[in-house]
Amino acid sequence: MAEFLKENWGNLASVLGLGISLCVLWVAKKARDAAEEARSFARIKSLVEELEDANHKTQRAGVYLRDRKWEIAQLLTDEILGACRSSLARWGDQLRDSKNNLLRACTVLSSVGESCRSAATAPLAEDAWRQTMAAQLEALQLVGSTLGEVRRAEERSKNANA
Amino acid sequence: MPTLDPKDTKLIDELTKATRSGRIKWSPTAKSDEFTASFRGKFSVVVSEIEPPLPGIMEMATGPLYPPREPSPARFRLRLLDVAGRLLLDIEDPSIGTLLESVRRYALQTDKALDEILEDLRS
Repeated sequence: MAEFLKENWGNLASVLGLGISLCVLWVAKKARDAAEEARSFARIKSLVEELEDANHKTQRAGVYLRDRKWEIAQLLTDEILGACRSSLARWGDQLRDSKNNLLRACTVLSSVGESCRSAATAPLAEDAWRQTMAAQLEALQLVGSTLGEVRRAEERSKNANA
Repeated sequence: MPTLDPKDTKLIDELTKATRSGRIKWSPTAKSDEFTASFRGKFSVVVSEIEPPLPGIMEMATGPLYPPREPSPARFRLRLLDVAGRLLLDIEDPSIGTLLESVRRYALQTDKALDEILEDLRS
């Protein structure tokens, strides 16, 4: 045995070295995966926060529209529109199927903003007001469903990290 | 009226077919008879009926003109916007009217209501 070790110590050391290298590689890969998962989780968390804020503001915009406070409603609508567009640009990969919903919400919100702008200068007819309220509800539903999907993704990510 | 590019015509046809088969989700906007759908999370299509112009101030002051004028034909518009809201395409064509009618039926769930009524009538 001692003779074998004496004659093959170089080979044995190479095999041991290879084993250690593989081990280090495996650990490094695991660490990289964990870091990637943590980054992905952080991205989803930011997206959830942004959409929660947009959802909340869409609800508030509805209250101001109902009370015909056009300037505040327009201001809020512009803010929501900015948040939704930013979400689409920054977290498009995380949104997956909800991207179309959020983009549809953007177009609907944009029309709500236009209605508020014109209502600030000339009174809005009853029908047009009702249509604007309905559009705000549609936008709320679209933002809400996107938020729901992102929350589910967050939960999945949480469970994967646990 | 400028003639449509063949691609524009194809887009209108395909949108109409896809709407009739229920493959596109349309949402009403804040404007009357205007609907929007999105594609690939990058593009929005907005279809609408163009409202006829309001009567001129002289016309309002003197009342309707006689003999009554023929009502102007309905005009329909399709716009394509990118994610930033930039206008990529803005076309006006009577064929968009057919698309808009399909979209209305989708948005109001007319076919679903008709199916239910027909089912009731059959039983």
